[in-house]
Amino acid sequence: MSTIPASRVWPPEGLARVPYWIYQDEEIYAREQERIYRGDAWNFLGLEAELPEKGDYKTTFAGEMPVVATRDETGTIRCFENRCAHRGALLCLADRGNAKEIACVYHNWTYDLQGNLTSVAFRRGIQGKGGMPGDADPGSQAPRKFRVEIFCGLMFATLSDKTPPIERYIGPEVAARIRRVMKEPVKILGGYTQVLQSNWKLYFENVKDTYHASLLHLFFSTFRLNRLEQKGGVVVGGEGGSHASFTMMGSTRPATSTSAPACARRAAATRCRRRRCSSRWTRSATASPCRSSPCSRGSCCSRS
Amino acid sequence: MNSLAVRQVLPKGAGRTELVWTCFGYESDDAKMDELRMRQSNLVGPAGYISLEDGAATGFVQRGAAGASERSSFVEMGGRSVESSESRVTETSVRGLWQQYRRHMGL
Repeated sequence: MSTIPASRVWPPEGLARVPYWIYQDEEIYAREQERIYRGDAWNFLGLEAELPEKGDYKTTFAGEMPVVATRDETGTIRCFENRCAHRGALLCLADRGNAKEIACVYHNWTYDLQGNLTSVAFRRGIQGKGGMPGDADPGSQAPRKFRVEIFCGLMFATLSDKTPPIERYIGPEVAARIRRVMKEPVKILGGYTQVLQSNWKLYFENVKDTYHASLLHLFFSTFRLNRLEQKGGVVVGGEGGSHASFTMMGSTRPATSTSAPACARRAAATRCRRRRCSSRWTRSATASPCRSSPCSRGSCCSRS
Repeated sequence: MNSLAVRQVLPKGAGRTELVWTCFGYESDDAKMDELRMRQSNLVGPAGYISLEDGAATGFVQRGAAGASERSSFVEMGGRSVESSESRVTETSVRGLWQQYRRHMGL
């Protein structure tokens, strides 16, 4: 049980303030691992489409805890700790693969695709010598198994029996919007990993911060992909931790708001305005960025 | 935009995080649509037009607040409560995160 210093009290203003120690303290970090990642929250494991065949597995994490997600011989998605019952070594080393069973490289203890310990090398010794005592129970230290739920092809895992079912956890408002995107079977196109030199919660906040998008990312406003003047909104669901933000075509107010900060005005001024397109310029179906002057303003024009 | 992606946020210590992006399309997409989705996935990832800047910004907060443990960020855009909003000039969803986080953490 992690202990947090008594001085760490949330500011009296409540949710309108976030104390900076929340991103810095090791004690907070340790409690998050216990109460969130290994506690009553769902961990997102990835897309079910990453494990299309029986025997497919991937290695990932529940917080800091390494885990294996598999599709077992019955076709069911399983998730268990990536830790051998014996000495705690990683069981699966590769990012992904296909296997009938999983063997620890250290002493060749083996596991099935549900994470059950199935054999211990030389358990009875050799010719009556060595081996484990008859009453040994090596399975008592077996990797922990997660409760797994699939929602719209998204795989989630939790160690807690108390975590509400995933759809209720997300909440109906946001679940409906996930359904809209995950409307049919998906295929994997590729991926990236990206290291952030910051606390994980700063990235969660960044994702949920609809205010920054067109201010930090001038790419968005320059290419008319996302401006705060566009219609849109944010839906907050579940206990508050679920959200969906959206933008729609068209503006709700004049594009050059006098209250916009200078950087936003600058971004707005450089974007391509359809009404300024002369007969020399036409709408492009492919919306490829135009590079040639005089139209250096954005994405919607190309030379006819 | 025609780019679809999911991401995992993996903590790697109090001051370090790894993002795992997985880009996807629909099984019914043809090769041309696959190509389009992949081309537009340049918004995300470590060198993506958007994600690069997000990673920089969160790093700026971690560095900027290094000597200010006892101070707080100011999160009142769009009010002080947690609710859905028809405006995106709001931090309502950020406050929502902290509402659920504090319940989990007992803070």
